[in-house]
Amino acid sequence: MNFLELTLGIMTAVGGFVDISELVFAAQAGSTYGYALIWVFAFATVGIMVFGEMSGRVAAIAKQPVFSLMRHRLGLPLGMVTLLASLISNLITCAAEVGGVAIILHLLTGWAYWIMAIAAILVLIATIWILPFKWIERSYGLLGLFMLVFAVALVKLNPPWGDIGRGFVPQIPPGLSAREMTNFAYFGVAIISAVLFPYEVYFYSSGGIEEDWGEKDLLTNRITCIVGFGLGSLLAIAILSNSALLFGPVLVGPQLPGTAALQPQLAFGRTGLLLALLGMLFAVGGAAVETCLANAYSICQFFGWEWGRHKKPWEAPRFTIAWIALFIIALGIVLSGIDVITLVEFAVLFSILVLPLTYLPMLLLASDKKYMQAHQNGIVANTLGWIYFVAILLAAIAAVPLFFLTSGGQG
Amino acid sequence: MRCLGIAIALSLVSCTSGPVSDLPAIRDIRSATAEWALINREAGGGKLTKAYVRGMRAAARKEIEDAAAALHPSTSPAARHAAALLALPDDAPVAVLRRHAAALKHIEIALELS
Amino acid sequence: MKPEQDIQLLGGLLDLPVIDRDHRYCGAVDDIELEGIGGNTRVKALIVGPGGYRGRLPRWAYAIVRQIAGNHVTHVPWEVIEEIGSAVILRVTADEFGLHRVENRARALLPKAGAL
Repeated sequence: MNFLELTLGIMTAVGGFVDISELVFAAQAGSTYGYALIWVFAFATVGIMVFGEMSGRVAAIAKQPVFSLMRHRLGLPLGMVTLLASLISNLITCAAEVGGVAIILHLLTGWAYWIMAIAAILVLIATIWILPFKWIERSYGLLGLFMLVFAVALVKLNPPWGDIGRGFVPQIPPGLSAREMTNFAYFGVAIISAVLFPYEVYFYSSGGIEEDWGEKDLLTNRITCIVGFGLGSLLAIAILSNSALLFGPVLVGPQLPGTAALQPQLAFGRTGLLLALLGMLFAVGGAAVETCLANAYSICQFFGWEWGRHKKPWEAPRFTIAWIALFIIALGIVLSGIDVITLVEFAVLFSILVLPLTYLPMLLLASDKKYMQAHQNGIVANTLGWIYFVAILLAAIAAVPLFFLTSGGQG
Repeated sequence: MRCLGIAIALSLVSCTSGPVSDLPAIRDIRSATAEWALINREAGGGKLTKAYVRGMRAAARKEIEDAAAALHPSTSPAARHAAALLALPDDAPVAVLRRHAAALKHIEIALELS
Repeated sequence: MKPEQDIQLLGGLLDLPVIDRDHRYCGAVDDIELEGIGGNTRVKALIVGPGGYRGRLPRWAYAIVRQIAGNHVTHVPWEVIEEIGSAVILRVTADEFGLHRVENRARALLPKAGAL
């Protein structure tokens, strides 16, 4: 296995972990609570590794992506509810990512936000039309590695490593008021939701089919999940830690998506700023591609239509029309003027409500000998899967009241 | 716009009214002000690109404007800080911006304890 | 499994994707047509198409589906099924039963150029 085979995992993880929501969220978590929420990122990362590996294994052995088999497992009515809920969640997220790309392009060029939004959509449509799947994942995956500047900046800034290490231990900061405790709980729930966004596993499992994975690729799948999602998690933790060090002491929340780029800038000056903006551009752009394709995959797999970018666009016409239409709808949402961070907050909320419907069928499928033959879940995967499913269920139950009690984490 | 939407939802659900419901908006204004101060500090040292500085200052100002619209009453101390901030030029002194941010932080803490 | 074996209609067939001989997706098992009674019941055909949702969704939901996608169905005879596993594999092409009508119409809307 060579490095380029990991690019599916890297693209999924970087686009999943450091999309526009994480860029603000992880930074807010760090500036508000210091290093105290690192353990939630670590906990959620193991969860996405477990479910990501399962979804890749289902794709490799059953030769069907998760959403195709999800309808079979849940039945038509419940399957349709899951489809609609994940479409709404992914579409809102896609709009947030497109808005995020537009903001970053605006900060790089100085050109008007709405022009950059249209330009972003045209470039995204062009890249998916022109490039086959492997090159889509390689370009966004590899270019997203500019985000490593955030991790390098953290090292340069010489943080209190002991405090960061202690952040991996489950904890609630002492001395919080009731309101702060509720806000802390909301951040925990929202981090779990953002790390385990359903579009990641839909994109990853469909990507496994696009890459024609089989039994020989099970090790690739496992390593891709561990390395890819591990890398994404480390980047998110780096952003959180930089924020605790740099933003908290000067009262920065942050509220503005472009503020995260100041983290490498404060370490490396203008070069750091440009590398950060480029990394953010490709990570958030990759997330826009993932969310849009995840929705197109879901629709086509649910109804049994031709799908996939391993085919030419006209060979899977309804799939192609679906992703183009979804991008145009996302652009419409962005141009309507809805604030990107508002979109992010509602995407995170919707996503956590969809998570139990996403992961329960996956757990059942990956344990089903009829589809998985000798590669069904072992005791470790099953145990971890059920532990995380219970955690997701509890988070889903708590999400709506916490959202309203804390005004979306604003206290 | 965002703070307005969230404030409406909060007051509908929890029947809270008055200054405590202004907390999200005050936090937004405080953070946007602090971000503005950080931008101006780094811009002063020539460490940022012009496009970035222009874009971020405009974004901070818009954030303060939108959040201020959600404050009630519009004559509260937080609202007066917001009005003073919006009257400042884009390249306002870092110390002035930080004083406003610190004052808004005190208002937040007072509301949290109430 | 092969179609001549006993099969669980809900757990082993309904809502599976349908793939033709050329490995192209051509819908899902939206409903199942049975014939015979009692112990002699057998599957006559798979029903593919939005019309197959009738009776499986609440009335109001089916009304919306019908507005958007119509109510056409295609009956795919049991005899043309090659294998049933994580998908239903046919031993014929989708075009023999008109299962790619809509896909073909959609294809006409797209330019056939520019993709690597």
